[in-house]
Amino acid sequence: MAALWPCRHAAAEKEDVNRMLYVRFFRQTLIERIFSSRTYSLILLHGFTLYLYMRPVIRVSKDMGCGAALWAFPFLLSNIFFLLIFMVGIVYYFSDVPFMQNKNMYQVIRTGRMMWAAGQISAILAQAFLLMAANIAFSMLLLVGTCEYTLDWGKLYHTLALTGGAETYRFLFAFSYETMQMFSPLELLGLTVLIGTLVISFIGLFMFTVSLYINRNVAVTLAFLMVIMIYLVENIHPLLRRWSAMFAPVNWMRVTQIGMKLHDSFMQPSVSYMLAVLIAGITACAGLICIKIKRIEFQWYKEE
Amino acid sequence: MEQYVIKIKNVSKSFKGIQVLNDVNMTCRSGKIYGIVGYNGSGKTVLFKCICGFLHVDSGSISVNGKVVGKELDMLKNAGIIIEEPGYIRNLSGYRNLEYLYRISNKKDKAAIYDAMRKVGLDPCAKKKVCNYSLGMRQRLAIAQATMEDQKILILDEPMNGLDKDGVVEMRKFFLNQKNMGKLILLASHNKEDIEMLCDEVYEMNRTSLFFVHKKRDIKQLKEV
Repeated sequence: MAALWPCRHAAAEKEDVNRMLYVRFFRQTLIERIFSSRTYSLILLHGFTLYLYMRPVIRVSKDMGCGAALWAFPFLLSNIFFLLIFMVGIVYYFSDVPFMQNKNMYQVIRTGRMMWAAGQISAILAQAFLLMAANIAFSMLLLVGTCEYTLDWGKLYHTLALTGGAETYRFLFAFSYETMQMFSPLELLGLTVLIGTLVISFIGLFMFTVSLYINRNVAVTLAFLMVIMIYLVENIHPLLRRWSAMFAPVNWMRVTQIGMKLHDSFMQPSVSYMLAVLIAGITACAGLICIKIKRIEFQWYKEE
Repeated sequence: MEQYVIKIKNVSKSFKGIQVLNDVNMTCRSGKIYGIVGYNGSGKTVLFKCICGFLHVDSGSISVNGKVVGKELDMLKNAGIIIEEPGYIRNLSGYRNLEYLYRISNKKDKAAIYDAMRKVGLDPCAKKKVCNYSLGMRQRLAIAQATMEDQKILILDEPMNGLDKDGVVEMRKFFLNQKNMGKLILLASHNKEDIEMLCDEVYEMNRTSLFFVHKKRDIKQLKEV
């Protein structure tokens, strides 16, 4: 028994070293991704789009002399054009999959295959959360100076939902009164962050998986198709809408449609269905990535 | 200092039916520089990638101190490598690039990175981004990257590419110094002088992927390839 102790000690030490290596590599990968030219381009695209969509809110708030609550983002995301631009940016952001440029060679030799894969997967998950958080923060920042600090939806959004004010000010999205009745602002924002993070993670990991098993072009094309499916769901026969919505994860980011009915049919699947499918999808992609990375023959390509 | 032995035994590798390595055998030990010469496309880089563990061999084995790469060893972790064109994070300075890699497996140590950069003739304080580096500066940075963590095995594919005359002389001295520190160095080069001056043993890779061994005394007779 005593002879086993040094063995156990060495194993525990190795585990600690591996954990530290993982944490360090994850941190370094995330830093690299955040401070990349892709991130800067995405910030420009998302920032400009957010500004365009939020401008009428600022204007109406000033004109009416009534502060706007900080919780507009979920309604923005439910607009099909906004969501399309938002997700095209995301597909562009992850289009450098499978992260096998010459510079990545120096990472792999330091981490080993599995640690490298785990670092990339974790970085995608973290990026997804940061993207959602950054977008929400920026949408709030745009309202600074005209905002109303309240944990409720506020007078302005109720007015816009119940009157034709949104049309007068050429709003590009709608405030839904039913949604405001169904969810508190924090509930809806929490749901937006949760579903949004999972959908973006799924798209990123799906692209990574397809790029490993087939190639990058196919990965980008399939991701675009997934994004464009929101049009299919929007324009399909109302009776088929709920059925088609079951297979369009990007559409699930339109959280203000959750629980809403159109022609006696729900427009979105239930939240538990969305969460189960997204978590299963993310887990499956992560597993497939690890299996492939373990066996892959690394072919490095030059930076773009 | 820990001794390393790399044994390459009957290694063969092909891509889509085209044989690139055929029954390759070689043994390398710490404290020596092993040169590999051969025509473009003769399989030098493929061999290096197989040794690192980036590619899997079809048959045969590559082992480091008895551990087979791809089985007991995931890959040749923590070897210093320069394979093909060095790649960097383009919008960062040379120092930041090295710091990024250094911190993957070490705590932050500015002095170690400064030292590695100075040894290859780069200014660690320079703010110049890597995208504005000359080919020679990129190559020097790659050499610093391969040696900054005191890697015991160096796998260098054309490390003198893009260096000027003085740079080549400096780097030759640098590699000889690394050898004297007991490191195992595998070097692929098209430059006859590099091979003559640096290598203890030279292996030639010809189109049929066979190896011919030349000891140090025979190197001068080696025809230029």
